[in-house]
Amino acid sequence: MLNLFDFPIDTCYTEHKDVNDYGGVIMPIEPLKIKTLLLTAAQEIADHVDILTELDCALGDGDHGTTMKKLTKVMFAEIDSWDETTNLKVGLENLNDALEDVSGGSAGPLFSAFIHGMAEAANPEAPNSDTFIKIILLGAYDEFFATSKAVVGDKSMMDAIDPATEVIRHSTTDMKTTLIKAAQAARAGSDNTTGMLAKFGRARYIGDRCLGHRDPGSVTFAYFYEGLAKGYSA
Amino acid sequence: MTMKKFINNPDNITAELLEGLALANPKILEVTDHNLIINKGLATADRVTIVTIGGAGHEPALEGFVGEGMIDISVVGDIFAAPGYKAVVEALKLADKGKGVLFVVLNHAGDMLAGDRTMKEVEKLGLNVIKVVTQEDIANAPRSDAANRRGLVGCVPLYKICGAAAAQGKSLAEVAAIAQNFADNMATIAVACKTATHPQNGASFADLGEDEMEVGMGQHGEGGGGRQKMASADETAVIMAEALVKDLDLKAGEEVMVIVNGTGATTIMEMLLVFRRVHKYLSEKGINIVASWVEEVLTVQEQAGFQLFFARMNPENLAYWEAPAKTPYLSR
Repeated sequence: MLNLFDFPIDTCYTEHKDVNDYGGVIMPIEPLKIKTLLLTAAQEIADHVDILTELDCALGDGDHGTTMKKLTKVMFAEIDSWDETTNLKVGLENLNDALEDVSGGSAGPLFSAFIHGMAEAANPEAPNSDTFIKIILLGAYDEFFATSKAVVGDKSMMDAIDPATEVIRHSTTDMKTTLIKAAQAARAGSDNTTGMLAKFGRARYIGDRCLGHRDPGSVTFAYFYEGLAKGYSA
Repeated sequence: MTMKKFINNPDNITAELLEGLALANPKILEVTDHNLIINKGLATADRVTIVTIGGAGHEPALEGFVGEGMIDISVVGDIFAAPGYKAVVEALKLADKGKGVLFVVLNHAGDMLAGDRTMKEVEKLGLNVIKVVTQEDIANAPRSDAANRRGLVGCVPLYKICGAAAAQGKSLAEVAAIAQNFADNMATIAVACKTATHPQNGASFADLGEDEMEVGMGQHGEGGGGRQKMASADETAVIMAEALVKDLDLKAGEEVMVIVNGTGATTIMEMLLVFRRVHKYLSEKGINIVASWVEEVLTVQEQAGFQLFFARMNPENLAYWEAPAKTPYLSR
């Protein structure tokens, strides 16, 4: 795998349409850029764990912030070792492996599924970082959906992930703008959960009383996409 | 968020409580890496074994019922949080003594995700495991919609019954059928009048009013039922017993097990008052209590309240219930 990654990339992409988009210049994936992106996203979540806990107290069992603190701690530890030679597919696989070891209630396996989807989709031969980012974020959605089976309106993480993914999937603009718009869509989707009845998790048991509160998982992913946008511009 | 609890570093609560459990019960169980609580009798067991998973913070359940005649390995997560699936797979591998493993999972989102992921690995590895899910909370969904019923205290008598069946040399298919039959005939309803705080962050779960109680509470302080004016022991007992009898469709002449499970800050005194009224209620209906337990079994930190549990019994299950067991919090 590592050899494949180091293989001169221009031989693989002489026929690739994107080559012309960059004026014939091959732009390889920059692992450090992806590193900054994911670390900033993790930091954005970690900076707001108190809010996540507070929200979970209204709806669930009050531990969502604690769980995200544990998960982001693992992210910092794993991603920290990435450098310019890191094979990102292997790096993401290792990250997922470490996340799966965390005892994280339901948010743990769901967050792991999201990262697992990134690892599965990660194509080390993607022509450039922007394409790579798009590939992993779409892959993250697919695996998350397969695991959670959640759809928009269920008052779950999906209410942030789905609209953000739709922006990324259909965007025709540059990645910086795309991620900013995805973050806005995730935040709006999360805010929408205020008026929803929960179909998943412990909140589904409290009926009408979950109205008026945002779903903590969706808020986590709003921070995640906001962190991506911030990290891209960093 | 002020919290008045005898704890140390909140991040270490689970590890420290498990260490304490092992030190207090050195002949019964041991704790290994990844929070596996292992029955010391497992080493020489030549029978079907019992494995379960769940978060900490509910002591004595679940890990307090590890030992001969009940659970062989309890895989503990963190406070109220399910363990990662890899630890569960490790436990199932360790528990398999060639006769197969019964894997008991309570219906909560995290536990179910871990359970499903575990079963995928189990299939790959070719392990002989049957999974049984407990989902007996009647508060939120009818019997026909089991997916939306939480697993509450019912897992504990179920461990006892399938543990005894395993000890008596039943095959995995037989043990699983006994467990499933018991699971299909149990029902729980919970009430809380004061909510608890999460010991790792001091957050309190709900905001029950001074004069309110909530019937249908979950076991993490999460709500789920009707809030109503605080009622007496007798009134509350009748509200809850009535709901359980209806759910189980219990008829005169049937035999039941009754558990009053304190959730942390309700006194045995209060629980005995409740049991007394439940006994009277069932007697008037001609329903016989053949097994009873009034105790803190599965708690929710310092939540005041209790879970009332009924199970329809048959002579076979009653014999398993009364069979010997040696665990830290249930011995006979």
